[in-house]
Amino acid sequence: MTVFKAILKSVREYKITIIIYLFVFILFGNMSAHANATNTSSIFKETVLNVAIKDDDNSVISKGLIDYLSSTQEVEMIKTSNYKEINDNIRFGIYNYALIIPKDFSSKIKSGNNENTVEYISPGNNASEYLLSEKLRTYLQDVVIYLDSGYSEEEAIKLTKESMEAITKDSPSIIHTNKENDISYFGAMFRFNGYTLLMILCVSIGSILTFMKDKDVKNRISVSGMHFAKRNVAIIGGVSLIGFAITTLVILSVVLFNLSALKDGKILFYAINTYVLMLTGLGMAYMISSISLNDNIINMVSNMTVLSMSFLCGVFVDVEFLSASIIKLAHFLPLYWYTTATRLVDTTPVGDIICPKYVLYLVIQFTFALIFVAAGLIISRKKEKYAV
Amino acid sequence: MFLRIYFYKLKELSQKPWLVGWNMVFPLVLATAFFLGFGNMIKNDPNEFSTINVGYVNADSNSYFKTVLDELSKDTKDRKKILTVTEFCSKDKALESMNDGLIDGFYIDNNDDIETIVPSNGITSTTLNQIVREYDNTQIVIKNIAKDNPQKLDYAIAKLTESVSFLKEHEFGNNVSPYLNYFFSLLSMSCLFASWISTAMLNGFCANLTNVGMRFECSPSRKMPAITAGILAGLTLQSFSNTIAILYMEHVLGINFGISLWNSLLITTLGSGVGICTGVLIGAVIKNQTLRVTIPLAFSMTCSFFSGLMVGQIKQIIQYHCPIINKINPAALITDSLYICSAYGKTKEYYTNLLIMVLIIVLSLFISSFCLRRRSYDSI
Repeated sequence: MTVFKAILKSVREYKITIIIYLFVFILFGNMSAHANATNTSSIFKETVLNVAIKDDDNSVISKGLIDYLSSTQEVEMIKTSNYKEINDNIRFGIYNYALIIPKDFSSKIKSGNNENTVEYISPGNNASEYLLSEKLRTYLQDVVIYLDSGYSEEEAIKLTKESMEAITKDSPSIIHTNKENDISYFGAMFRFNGYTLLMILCVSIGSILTFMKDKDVKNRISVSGMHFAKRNVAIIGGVSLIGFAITTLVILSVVLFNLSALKDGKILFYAINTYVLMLTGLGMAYMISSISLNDNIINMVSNMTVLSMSFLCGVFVDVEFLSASIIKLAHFLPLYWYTTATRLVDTTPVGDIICPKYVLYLVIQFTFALIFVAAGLIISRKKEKYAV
Repeated sequence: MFLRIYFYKLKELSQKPWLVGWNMVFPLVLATAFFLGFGNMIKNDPNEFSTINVGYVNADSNSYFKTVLDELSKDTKDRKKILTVTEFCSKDKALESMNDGLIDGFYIDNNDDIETIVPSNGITSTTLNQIVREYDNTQIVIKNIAKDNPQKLDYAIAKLTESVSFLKEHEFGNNVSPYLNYFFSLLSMSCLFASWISTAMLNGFCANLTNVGMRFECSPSRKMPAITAGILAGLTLQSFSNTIAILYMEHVLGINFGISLWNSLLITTLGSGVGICTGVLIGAVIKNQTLRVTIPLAFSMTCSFFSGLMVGQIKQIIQYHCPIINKINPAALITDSLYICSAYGKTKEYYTNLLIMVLIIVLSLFISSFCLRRRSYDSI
């Protein structure tokens, strides 16, 4: 019981680390989940783009154009003339498109000189650029035709607006085929959790284990008369309890931030997957702690392995963007099987989750945990043998 | 004396395995992970427009909508083809093909009444729908003109089929991939890791921290040149690490920063100076041994996070909502300098960023000198 209590007490030393990573998880996990979560809907919803508009013309036609865009897209009027600032906002996703209406826009449209009447900035040749440019081209083409056909500016804008409204009745029907690309809030949160949980476990448990391996502490325990097996059971019990408590805290924090997501009943499967990841984390922590007794090195090795794994296994970058060879390589990393199991839970109806695939993913993660422990034991033994 | 301390510090610091690991190996490992994770996206933008595979179901071979689809299936001088059309004899066949992921959606043409079927919401579905909307819009315009100004009908039809380019793209010389920002952010993280070189270096100068510090503080050697030599040793070590990291990224991983090597080295060396000097400040203010490691680590990681190390667009989100934060975050300053230099060349903002970094260095050293001065110990 003394060793068990000592392990629990030593957690206090790492409480700041645990709190920092939990904070990182709650804050950035939520940010990432809200950004990545997508909802499957059977009703067609047009993709709405963020459009920044700079209107230097302030004419009836330019206002008509802005009015049309405002009714279909998220429009933000900007005043800055700094094109670099606008370009950076587009490159890094603040806007999808920027439209710059020059002073002579209206006069050019009316004079029939329609080439290059407006300028735009887009993040390269992509789908949103094509879509919005097409919408703008259609709108301006209509206005020009109406004006050239003898209609007044107001009539041309009114008729164009009416036809734009009339064609919105054209909506596709959605027939779902597969839902593999949809990510729910829980799915995104638990995916990000792959990084934070492994980091918390590797850094805190790794450091606690090195504390137990400290020469003086080890000698004091050795002379205490406590049986070897009892002592190790106490260490394993203490470490497992801390791991269990941290994992439960992480799961609860996910649930508390989105109680409505509980309705689909999948939380149990996410939780099981997370507890199995906990075992992998404990195994990794043991292996890392056997490499060095220095907190700094434990921190460094944990950061190197967990951050790298997170990038390669689909935690930070979605698997669909990874190349085939990287995905093949990721099969040899435990975090890949965790994210794959999370994706399976996310995209499968609750009644069908317990399937051979799900069990296989859990078994693979558990096998990795055993491999890490075995590797840790081998390293420890070799270090003891050669007195490294 | 100065040179002796400089070389001894260089030797002492480079013999610390954790320091070499964090400052030299960690950036290389992370750069490799970044490269394997999304290195391909720097060259091939995943958001680039790709031709949409669409199905078409129609019994009537003379449909005008089919002509529109055929037009969109041709490459133009401005862009590659929009659609690749596959014809199906029935809705079920098309649906089967959509289920297999062979097409992104399909049109059912029922005597010019077009129905669009898509598997989910998204930009591809919206684009497919936009094609139908444009087709219907053409008919509305013709009807309106025919009703009000029939004499202009021929002109309107000609104009509708004419390809007028109303829009002109504002071109920026160098289109830097947003994914490159991760690598710039990684370099800024590496620069700020220099902060714990300073805290480790100061351990040997402070009597209240180590035995070496005790010996140093009661020796007759002057503190100022010794600390300056230590700072320069740390800066040399960190600059060496940065050079290796830059060479590795550019020549081994093949990532083109779009900046000359000397320019990258200038920015990262100045950035390392910021890291070293903030580390001196932390080392001068904080006495607790654990915090002397934790605070520089937390400082570098937090600053790096907000410069886009883990979420690429975070720096721009901050720039949009509260730009002052980017001007006081050293990692954002380094990342931004590299990005500006790569995307726009040496602009006013670039020089402003360098100037702010110099100011941070001066301010940190100024405060540190107040904390470290007038400490003398007697030899007893």
